[in-house]
Amino acid sequence: MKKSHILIFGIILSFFSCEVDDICLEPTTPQLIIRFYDIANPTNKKAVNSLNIWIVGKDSIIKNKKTDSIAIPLKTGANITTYKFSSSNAVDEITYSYERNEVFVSRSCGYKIIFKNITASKSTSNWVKQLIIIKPTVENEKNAHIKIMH
Amino acid sequence: MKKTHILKLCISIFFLSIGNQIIAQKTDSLKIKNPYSLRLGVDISKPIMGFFNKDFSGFEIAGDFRFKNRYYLASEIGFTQKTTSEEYINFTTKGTYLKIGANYNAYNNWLDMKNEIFIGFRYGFSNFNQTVNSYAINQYGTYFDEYAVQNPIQFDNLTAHWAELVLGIKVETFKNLYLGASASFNTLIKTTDPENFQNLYIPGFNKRHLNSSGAGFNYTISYQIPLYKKVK
Repeated sequence: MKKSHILIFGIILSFFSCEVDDICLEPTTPQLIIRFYDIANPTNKKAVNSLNIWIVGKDSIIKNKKTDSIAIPLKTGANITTYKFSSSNAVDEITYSYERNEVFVSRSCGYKIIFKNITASKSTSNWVKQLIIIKPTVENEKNAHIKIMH
Repeated sequence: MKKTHILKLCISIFFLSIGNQIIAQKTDSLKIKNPYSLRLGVDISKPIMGFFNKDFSGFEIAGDFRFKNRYYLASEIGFTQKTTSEEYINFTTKGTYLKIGANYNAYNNWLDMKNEIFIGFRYGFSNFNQTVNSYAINQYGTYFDEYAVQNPIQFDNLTAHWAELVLGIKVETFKNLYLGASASFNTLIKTTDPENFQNLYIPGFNKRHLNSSGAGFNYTISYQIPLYKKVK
């Protein structure tokens, strides 16, 4: 084989190189992003002093946290997720309802879910005074989807 | 001083190369008749892979025809059924493929030897279907159980077109019986992806990587049917 052939083959081969795609790097099913605001001054964020969030029968997903912003997962196998929210000793139950769209991402990431037409409701107002939907479609975690006024 | 040295060197290289050519022409005067023939073979790697791997079954027939001293028309036709299991998806691909192209033999044979080290290209086409057997939704954390979907979805009448660069060898072991091995480097030209899924595996093209490239190999046993003989 002539040297020039090897060179040409090498050049062509470089266009056919492979990439590793065994690790999932793309964003998958997004979490629900909630921000906490002051009911007395609705443009101001207001941190919750001792926030606990859980599903009845399970451990807390958020435990004794002082924060004004959280991300929690929604159930991917059901159209409703109900969480208990507590601040100090006051507890309110918030129910999120939504539609689910399954979207193919990639070989390594598989499928994700995009949540559409999300609504939030509560039966009591022990500390959560008002729920405001900012983005009814949860497709990424770049911005907040829901405001909680307290 | 230096310039004259370089000049001398150039002149001597010039005469050396002319001398070489004259010698080469002389040895070339021995005329050897080579067959212009049709060669047909099977890929033995695919049935073997199918025997050891229950998720794969395949068959490939390869043929080529020498139409000019160093040039061969080449083609492969085959069938593949493969189940791919990834972390979140399990799917089965099933279909047939056809590859057409040419090989160039870059190997200088001694006298009447008929071996090859070849470089070639192919245009590949496949018609296939994909069945997503099961998948699980990729979600954050483990607070909720994984949501897995088990009912299979089948996508029919899918096609793909691609180009291949092939590098391989062929050795005549017994008279007219050849053993061959080749590797191919594929780049996808066009494919019809199913709705909300992707052709992650294509018969003949094999695993589709992120940048739409693929690779393949085969081991063939082939028999040469001599048609007529001609001087080189």
